[in-house]
Amino acid sequence: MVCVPPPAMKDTLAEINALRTAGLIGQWAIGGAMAATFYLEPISTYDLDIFVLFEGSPLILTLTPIYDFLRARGHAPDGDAVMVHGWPVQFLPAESVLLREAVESAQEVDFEGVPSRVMRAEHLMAIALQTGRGKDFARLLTFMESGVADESKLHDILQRHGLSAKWQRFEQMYLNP
Amino acid sequence: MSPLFQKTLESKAARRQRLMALPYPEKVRIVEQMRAAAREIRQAENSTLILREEPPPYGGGNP
Repeated sequence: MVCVPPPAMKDTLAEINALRTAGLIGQWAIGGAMAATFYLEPISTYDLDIFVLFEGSPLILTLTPIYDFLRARGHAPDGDAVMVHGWPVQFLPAESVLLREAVESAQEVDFEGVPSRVMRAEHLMAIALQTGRGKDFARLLTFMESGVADESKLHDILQRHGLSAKWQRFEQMYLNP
Repeated sequence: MSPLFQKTLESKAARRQRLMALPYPEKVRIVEQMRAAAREIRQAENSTLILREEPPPYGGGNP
């Protein structure tokens, strides 16, 4: 019987910091469901989305150096993720202007002694709106009901990223039906 | 709405508020428990009929 140690997010995050120290990634931030969990109630999810900036912007973006670095430290690829201390980690280049801004302005969080960064609620909401799946809208509703977001900051982000019309449609459909 | 139903809704809302107020590491532990439970269900079913989530098209949506 194979004994699998329990997942330990702080060890996972420490490995992401090691990638940063090694210069393989630039600034990073937790996004997706695990970032939403920071602000809302726990959300069931399969993996940990890590959005990364690449300093120096290589002409052809590749995640191979990240995978090689982690493999050398005992973390095996698992589908389109890498299993790092029990968490399937998906590295997502923050390529769009909105994602870049979300990473740059992420909140610094001390996770059990490990410095980490979590996207802010307003950016998570804008990204959910832009992504636009059913579960993204459901999460947006939860954000609205929770009252954790600063609405003026949210509307500023929506306006700057051309999402105001989409927000109005969302409001009409789900907030003021 | 009956008083019982109203009370149930209020109780659910209060529970959600309690969960939201937990420290982040505690919430992460709850997510880890949910993942472990989902894994057990998958293994018990030994089924290929598990829906895998389509990766989100981050940054690709139209405004």
